[in-house]
Amino acid sequence: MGKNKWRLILSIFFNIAGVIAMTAEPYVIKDIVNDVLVPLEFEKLIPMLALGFGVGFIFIACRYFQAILGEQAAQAAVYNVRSALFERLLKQSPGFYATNRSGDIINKCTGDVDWINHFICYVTPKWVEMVLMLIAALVVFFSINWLYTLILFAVTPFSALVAMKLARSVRPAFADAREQLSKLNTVVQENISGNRVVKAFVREDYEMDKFQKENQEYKRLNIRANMIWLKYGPVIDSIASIMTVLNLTVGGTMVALGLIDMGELSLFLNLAWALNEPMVLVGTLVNDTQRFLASCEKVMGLYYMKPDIENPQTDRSPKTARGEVEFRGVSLSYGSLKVLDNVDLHINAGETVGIMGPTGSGKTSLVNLIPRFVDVTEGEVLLDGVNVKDYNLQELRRRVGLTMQDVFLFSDTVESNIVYGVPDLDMDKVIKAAKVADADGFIREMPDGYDTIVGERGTGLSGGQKQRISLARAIAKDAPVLILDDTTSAVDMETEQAIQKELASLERKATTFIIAQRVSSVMHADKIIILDNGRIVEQGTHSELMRNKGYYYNTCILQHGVMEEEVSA
Amino acid sequence: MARNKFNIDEELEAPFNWQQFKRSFVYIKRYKKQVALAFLASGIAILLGLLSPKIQQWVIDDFIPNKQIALIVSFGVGYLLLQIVIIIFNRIRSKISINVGQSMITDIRTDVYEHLQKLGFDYYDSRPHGKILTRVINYVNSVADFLTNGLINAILEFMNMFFILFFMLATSPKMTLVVLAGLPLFLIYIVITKPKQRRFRQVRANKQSNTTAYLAENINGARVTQAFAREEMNDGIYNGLLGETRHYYLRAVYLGHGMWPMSAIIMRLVQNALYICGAFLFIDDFIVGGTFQFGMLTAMVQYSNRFWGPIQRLGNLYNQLLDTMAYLERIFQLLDEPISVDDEPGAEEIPPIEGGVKFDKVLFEYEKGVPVLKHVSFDVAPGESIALVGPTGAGKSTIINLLSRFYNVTEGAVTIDGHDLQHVTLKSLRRQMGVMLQDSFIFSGTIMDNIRYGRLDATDEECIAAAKAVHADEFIRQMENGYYTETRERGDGLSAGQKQLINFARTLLSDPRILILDEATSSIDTNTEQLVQEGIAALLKGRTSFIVAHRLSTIKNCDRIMYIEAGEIAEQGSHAELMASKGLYYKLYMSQLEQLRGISEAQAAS
Repeated sequence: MGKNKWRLILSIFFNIAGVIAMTAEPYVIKDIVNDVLVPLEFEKLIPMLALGFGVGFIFIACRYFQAILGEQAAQAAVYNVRSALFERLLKQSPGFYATNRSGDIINKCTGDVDWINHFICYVTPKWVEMVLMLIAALVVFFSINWLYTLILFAVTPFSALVAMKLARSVRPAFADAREQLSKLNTVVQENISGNRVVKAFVREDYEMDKFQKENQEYKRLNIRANMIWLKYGPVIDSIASIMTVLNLTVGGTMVALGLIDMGELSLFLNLAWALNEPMVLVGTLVNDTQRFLASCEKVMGLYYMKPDIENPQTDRSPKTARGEVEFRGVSLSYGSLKVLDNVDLHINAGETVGIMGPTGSGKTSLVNLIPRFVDVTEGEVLLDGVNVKDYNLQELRRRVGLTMQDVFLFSDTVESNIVYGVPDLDMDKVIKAAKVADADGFIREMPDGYDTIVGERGTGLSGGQKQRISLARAIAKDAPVLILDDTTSAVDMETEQAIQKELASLERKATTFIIAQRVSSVMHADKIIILDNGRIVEQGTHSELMRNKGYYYNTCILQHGVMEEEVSA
Repeated sequence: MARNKFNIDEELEAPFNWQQFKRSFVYIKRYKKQVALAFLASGIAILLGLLSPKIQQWVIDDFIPNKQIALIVSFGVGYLLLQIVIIIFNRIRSKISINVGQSMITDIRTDVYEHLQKLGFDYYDSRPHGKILTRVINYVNSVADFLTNGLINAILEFMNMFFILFFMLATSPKMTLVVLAGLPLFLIYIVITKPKQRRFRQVRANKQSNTTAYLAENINGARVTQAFAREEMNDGIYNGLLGETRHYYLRAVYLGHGMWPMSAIIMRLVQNALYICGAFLFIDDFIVGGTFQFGMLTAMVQYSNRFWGPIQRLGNLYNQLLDTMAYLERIFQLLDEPISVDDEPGAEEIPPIEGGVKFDKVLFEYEKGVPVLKHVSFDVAPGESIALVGPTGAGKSTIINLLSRFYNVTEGAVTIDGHDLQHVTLKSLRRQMGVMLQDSFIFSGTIMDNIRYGRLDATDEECIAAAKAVHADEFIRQMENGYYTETRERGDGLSAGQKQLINFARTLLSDPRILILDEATSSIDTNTEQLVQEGIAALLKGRTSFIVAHRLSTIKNCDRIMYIEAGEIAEQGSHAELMASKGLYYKLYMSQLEQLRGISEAQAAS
């Protein structure tokens, strides 16, 4: 950071030095006209040209170093901002991702941050240059003739006024355009990830229409924003050219009247661009500054959005992790919707719990409370006797191995996916985890074995394959608590049984939560709970629940009933 | 199938050439008239602009020394009017180029997107989605500026150069040669640095795309990252990618920024040369009537500076061109991506499907030499229901994918009602197929929109009826705004079972002739599944259906069961037949029976 600050300061120093050299250059030209060309004293020409070239060279060198240092500083700034945003993003809870579209987030981290680069490298030095040039020109002009200067500068307030109006009206237009870009981004992203569904339902035309709507709107808004610039730009340009005209007529008249000499006029004319350029530039700079500010606002907004699940002040996590889990009077609501209602549950270390219940009964929400993907509304969740809220988040999550319903694999090698939680795991342990998940066999059959790259989200793999890789990933972590959320739904029963046997025979048996719809997945569990509308309605072992003749019994009969008839037949 | 991940650059196979760059002219051609008009307006503005030094020269050389104040003022006013006319012409040009530019990127994006709709699963499955997104959004946006303003400016700057050249020649041909002498120096710099510049900019574009891909994936997989407490490591990886991008960006920029100093130095050398030549070499040309015409020399110096202005700007444009080329080649690469599954020339629409499906010695390979289906043959009568069972990865999903021709068979043929799927239009085929995929994708929008995706002209009532049939109505009504509840990206917030039910309603609404269920009910609870099956029993009647499932209760009732193993049909027949033959299915079934016995014993024991 320190180094970068110096780069920026140096860059601005070169910027200033450059402007001074640039302003000095015409001085030499003035002398060439007055001292060489008018009196025809050509012997002075070479040394004067050399001087001029020297000044010019300094100017060029300053500009170059300013640009390079500016780029370096800007790149460092952009790097830092992106890095900080990324870090923040990884801390955000699922709640954040549910309310922020990914297209919008990506936009903020890419396009908006690019404006910071543009601002540092281009807009800032131009502002510095503009102000300096105006001051320098002012000083030089005043030193020659104050009346002349006053007349010339009379038009500048008008220019400033128009620039201010431009600033005010252009910003909302740019904000609209970038908002629309986010929408467009989201439509395209969804189309890419949903490409299978699009094709299955032959909705290419529909998708095209949906896209065209946003695409055309983006075009319209972009044109609108640019047109605002076109409305004010010509006015600013006209004011700038009035200045040149004043220079020529007032200056010419004054020479004619003998108030200034020819060389002085020549200097004025040569320095005219020092006045003109800022006047013309001001529009563009105001424009770009507004865009930068609009982007800054977005980036800041993203950065300062506090994660709703944060680390506690002090980490009270117990030294040894055993895996005892307890839910005490736990309720969870999303807005007005009550998902869990006063759940009490105690699981001893090493036990296996099966969780069943109708679709949407709160099964996933219940287990999500353990690694704090969401926080309880009421009650508390304890891991090894300590409230999960008192754990350092990373520490807590290190103790929980997890597979999710919606399997997410990264577009990386199978091996990298399995070692996701423990990056430096030995290959033989990777294979062992894969074997427990019964994934080793099919992984070896893949073209590059463990080095095969899988598509994003694991597309191209079958549901069962994805589930088993995700299971291997959770097992490889070797955590005291293991949560299997619908992990074997796409795996055949034989394989499932093999997996369960392997899991049970692991050296360190994890406290395991199994969410499933199949009785066969949970029947061997130490405890089975049935959730309905966020409440535990049945609880016990397989045989206890069978006697109970409730939901579990009915499900069992539905799934196996037909076969039972055959057994008895 | 070459797969790509976030940190592998997508290298180009063919080197970029001008031929490819010319392709972007297709987009410009559509706006030929506007572009011509813009050029015309600009040309006029430039021509008029060249008069300015002339006016200044008259005023300085003639009117001021002669103290003709009236002329000074009137020429000043004339000068102002001239400037205003120039501004008006410039505004016309800007307005056109903004419109054309925006239209052009809209067109390019449309083409890219349209092509994306035609690309097969294999394209999407083999690279991070963030990389595709980057091309459609960021790259297209990046080429916009060059293709519009850049290109117009480049041509204008060239024109500008020639105008100035003309004026210079009119003023002094000898001095013009002096001005032109600096040009080769500048060209040498460009030629020497070009290959490196191009390379750096290409690599930078790659790195940028890698970075965005990684970002996108991390946003989508943030939960997994958190669950595995891997934030720090991913921060590190991302920083590494950012660092690479920065590295190549700066490399390119160091060379790019060298362009201006080169030209600025040459410009000054030329200027000095002009003075020297004016004072010593061609002094006779400047002495008119005994006085030295320094106005003429000043004008020449001004022309020279003006001549080098366009060259400097062309240098900047050249940097931009190199960037644009790096992006354009990516865009064209996407547009050139072959469409793996497309309508054949002369493909005909398949008439309303009755449901007779035939696989004739079908061989299928995703990857050359690795057959997934090994010459599979079977016949399905209209109305028959087929269950596919077998180990994961045996080829069940592949059979199903071939039915909708999501992939082309490698050898053999798949026919429906005697029509080879290879020779029918994809739309007419897929419209009649109802496929429920393993992944139930939910779009952002309302639940109603998501169901209606199955049939766009369905009324609300029809959508609700479909939801009722699959017993999704109940949970949907419990949601905040019922059917009008906004779903989040990918259906976040809905359980897997709920997503499958919505998906089911969607498929049902599409009223397919052939129904395909690929592990479509795995996350739905058994009670609901039972109800769903009753609900769709009527639908299934008389329609061919293919079902992949692991719950044997779902499978048993099908007319025929095929046991797939290692890309071949190991057994087929009805449940009773397969049980009698005591093969693989029997084994599978009996193993479940074992479990059942376990349950019964447990029951007996308790």
